Amino acid sequence: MNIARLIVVVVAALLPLAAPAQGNLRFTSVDVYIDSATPFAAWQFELSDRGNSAMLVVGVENGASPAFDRAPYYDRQAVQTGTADRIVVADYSLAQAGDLPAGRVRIATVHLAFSGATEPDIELRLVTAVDADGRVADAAISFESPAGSAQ
Amino acid sequence: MERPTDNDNEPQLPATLIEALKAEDQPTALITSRADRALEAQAAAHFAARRSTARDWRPAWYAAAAAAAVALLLVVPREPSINEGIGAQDVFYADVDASGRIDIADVLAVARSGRATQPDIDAFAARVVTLSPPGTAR
Amino acid sequence: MHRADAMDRQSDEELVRLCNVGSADEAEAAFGSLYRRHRDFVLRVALRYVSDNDSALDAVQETFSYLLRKFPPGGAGLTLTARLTTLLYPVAKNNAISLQRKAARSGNADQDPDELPSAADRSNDERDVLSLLAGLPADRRELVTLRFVDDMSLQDIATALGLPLGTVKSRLHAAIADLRKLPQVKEFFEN
Repeated sequence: MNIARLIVVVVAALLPLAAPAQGNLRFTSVDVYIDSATPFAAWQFELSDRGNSAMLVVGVENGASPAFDRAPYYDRQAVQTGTADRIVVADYSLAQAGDLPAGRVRIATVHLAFSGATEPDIELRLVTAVDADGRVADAAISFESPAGSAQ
Repeated sequence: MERPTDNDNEPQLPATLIEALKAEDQPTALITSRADRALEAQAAAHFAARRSTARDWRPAWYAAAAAAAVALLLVVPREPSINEGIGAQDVFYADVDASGRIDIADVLAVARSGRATQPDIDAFAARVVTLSPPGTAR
Repeated sequence: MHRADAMDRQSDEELVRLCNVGSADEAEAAFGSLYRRHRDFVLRVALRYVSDNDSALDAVQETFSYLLRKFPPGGAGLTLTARLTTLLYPVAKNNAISLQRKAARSGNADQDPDELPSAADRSNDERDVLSLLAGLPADRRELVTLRFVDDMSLQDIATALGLPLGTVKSRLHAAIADLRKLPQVKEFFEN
């Protein structure tokens, strides 16, 4: 590896760790909902920012269903190192079919920091939601944030 | 101007004035439960790296059983596997439901099959949610 | 809940130790205790410098995010050489001031950006939250507040403000002399 490439690699590695200037961070959070006609046993979504708010994910919480009562899966290392400018969140449940959630359910809350002039323009994509037998559920995903924005 | 010398001569304020100042300084905003939860979630993510992998949950007899299993493998020849040379968690990383994509539905299928240990399932799920390097296709 | 209760009884030094070297669960619980114990103080400090509640809450969150980054992984670990509030005060103050100035520049704050004081003296960013101290120069108002409202020791104030102890003593003495002359507090000294 020549010197120029080495420098690029080193700088690229350091950039994500450069914290925003003190006092420039705002915080918000996004409640993510699945609305499913049938009980679902696993779900996965991806959340990103369409705009240029310099958004970073700083934490993810589980939602309201007892069937999914632990912290969901997400890239913790990316969140820890301040490089999560988008996030993939997923979870599964081995609960009995009768205990699985249906209808409109909050599945996660994603906590965000941003340093741009405007709040993040959230883009939310449901990757999959399946029932206990692995069949794709008839489900839609949406979000709400305290600032009032919603999809 | 008189110079103060030590704490014994530190000027004091009347107790009533101190009380009034503290009353004025009471916050007009409240820390919301959402703000509390945001910090909790941040702390959970931050300290998550200290969670060790399989070691913590395995019962005490596991080490002996694992050693016996390894010994058996060394003594008994086995059929070469198509997964030869891949890490344990990678054995399960596959499009189990043939959906065309490896996602949490495949993790659910493996979890329901009973074939994998919890650490293997967790490792599979962790790979599913790992963010790709910036600039690469999603 | 049981763990949280037990943690809440630990000293700041012990909680910091657990944040440095405890297990994931211990560190999370310890940090939670530190947060619950000191969040109101940080909020009060923030509200002295920002004009809206949302900015104050953001300043609180950013202050504790800063504290969190001190602990491994990522941080080298924190050694408490003074009370934790001594460390949190300047962080909270600077976060709040930066947020207020940013809001003013973008036109979202109550304050007219043209009325903002120069960047050279950050203590002038303090709002007149304490009307009883109105009329006191900003740096003296800050000293009186830290000593008598926040109950900081003179040494802690010196550490928090980055001043020699002798300077703090001298300025506090002058601050109280000024305070005695303010019409709105005279009756307190006369009673």
